[in-house]
Amino acid sequence: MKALAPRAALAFRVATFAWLVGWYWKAAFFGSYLFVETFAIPLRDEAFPAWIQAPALSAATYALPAIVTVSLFVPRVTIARAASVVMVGSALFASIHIDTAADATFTTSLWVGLWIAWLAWNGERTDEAFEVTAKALAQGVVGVLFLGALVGKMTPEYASGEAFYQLYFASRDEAPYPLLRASIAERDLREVATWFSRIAIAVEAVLAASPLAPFRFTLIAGCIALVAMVLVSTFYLVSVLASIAGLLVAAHLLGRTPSARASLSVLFAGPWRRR
Amino acid sequence: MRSLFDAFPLVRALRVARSRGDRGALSLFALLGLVALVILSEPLSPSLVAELMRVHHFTPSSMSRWIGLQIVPKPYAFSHHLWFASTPLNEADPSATEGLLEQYTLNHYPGRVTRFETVRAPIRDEVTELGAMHLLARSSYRGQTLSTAYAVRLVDGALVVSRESPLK
Repeated sequence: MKALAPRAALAFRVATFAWLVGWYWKAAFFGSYLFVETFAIPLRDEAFPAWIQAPALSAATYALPAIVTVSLFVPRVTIARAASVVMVGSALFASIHIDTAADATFTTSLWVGLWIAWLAWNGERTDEAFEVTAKALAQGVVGVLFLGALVGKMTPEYASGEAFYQLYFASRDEAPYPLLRASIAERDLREVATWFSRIAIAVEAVLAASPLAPFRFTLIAGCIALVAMVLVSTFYLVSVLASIAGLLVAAHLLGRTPSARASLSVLFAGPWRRR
Repeated sequence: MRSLFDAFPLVRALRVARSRGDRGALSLFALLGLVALVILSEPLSPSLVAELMRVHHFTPSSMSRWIGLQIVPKPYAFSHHLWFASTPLNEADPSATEGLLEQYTLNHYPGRVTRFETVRAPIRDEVTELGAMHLLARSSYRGQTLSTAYAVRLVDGALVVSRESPLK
């Protein structure tokens, strides 16, 4: 069985690990919901066919990517390709199954999974075009993910800050919102929400347009924005954003010479020797 | 002109992928381009916005549209509000409904509330006592609005969600 080229193996491991972190970040929530509650108290929605709301299918879909962990330790071409098929298939089905469809975790997992699949199918390449294509595809994924959020906010409720005021400033129990409510008058808090909304829209516009910029810009702007989004929103957002961060870092690593340690780990990661 | 476009990494990558016959990369670029086009069409297409709102309400007009639009990223997109009551909601002024229990703004997918994640046991108890629970989701985008009324009942031990009002 052929091994991935060292750079591709490192990138594959980073992207796949981050993908798994995002997928299982809310394991406590999804564990009790998908594996206990949906079976204990069934819920039928008359607008959907039975297969798209079967609890066994959503539970199986959520559990399945755990087997992808094997590919982190044995980054061989065939295993990496099989793992990427599992990631894309699980994310696609989770995106349409009614139990999981509303969680953006599975949308980002799907798009990042497609990039990982491309990487796995080209993982023996070492040419310069490989790096150029991988980085441009990663930028394209980031651009489309933030374009959806940006265009969806081009509406008066977000332009005025009212949507974020209601979503965060008036109702969130996580820091810093209770402190802000206690220390700032409502009128001023609405003004803060308006600026918050404008900044959020501007950041999304920058990231949506970032495929037109050099990769380094997308990497730096993207990582700063992802961290900021978690800080101002909720720690649960890591489930949505971890795979995007992993994608950017993995694409960046394709342009670097792997360290001796990383190369060795690729060489001796499994029972098969590198070709 | 060619060298000017080559300054963009995206254009260079597309050229490289085409010259190498990298069908995987070209397919992924094409899919990204198609989805970007769909997203950019939102402000120009009331019918697309209407279908996206139906998706946010878990009330798609067909399964193929549901599947197709579920790959389109839409976090924190459009404005959404939801009312939750023990009696059918007054669609003209939901906040004035007599049996109003709760109302809140949501970031996306107000229809997800009908899944009652982690609260199915108390909802089942409420529905058992009241006979039915009622919800109204309202989404808006650039002046376009969609409202969907839902009812939740208990049938043979299962919670059953149905739509009570025609879509607007």
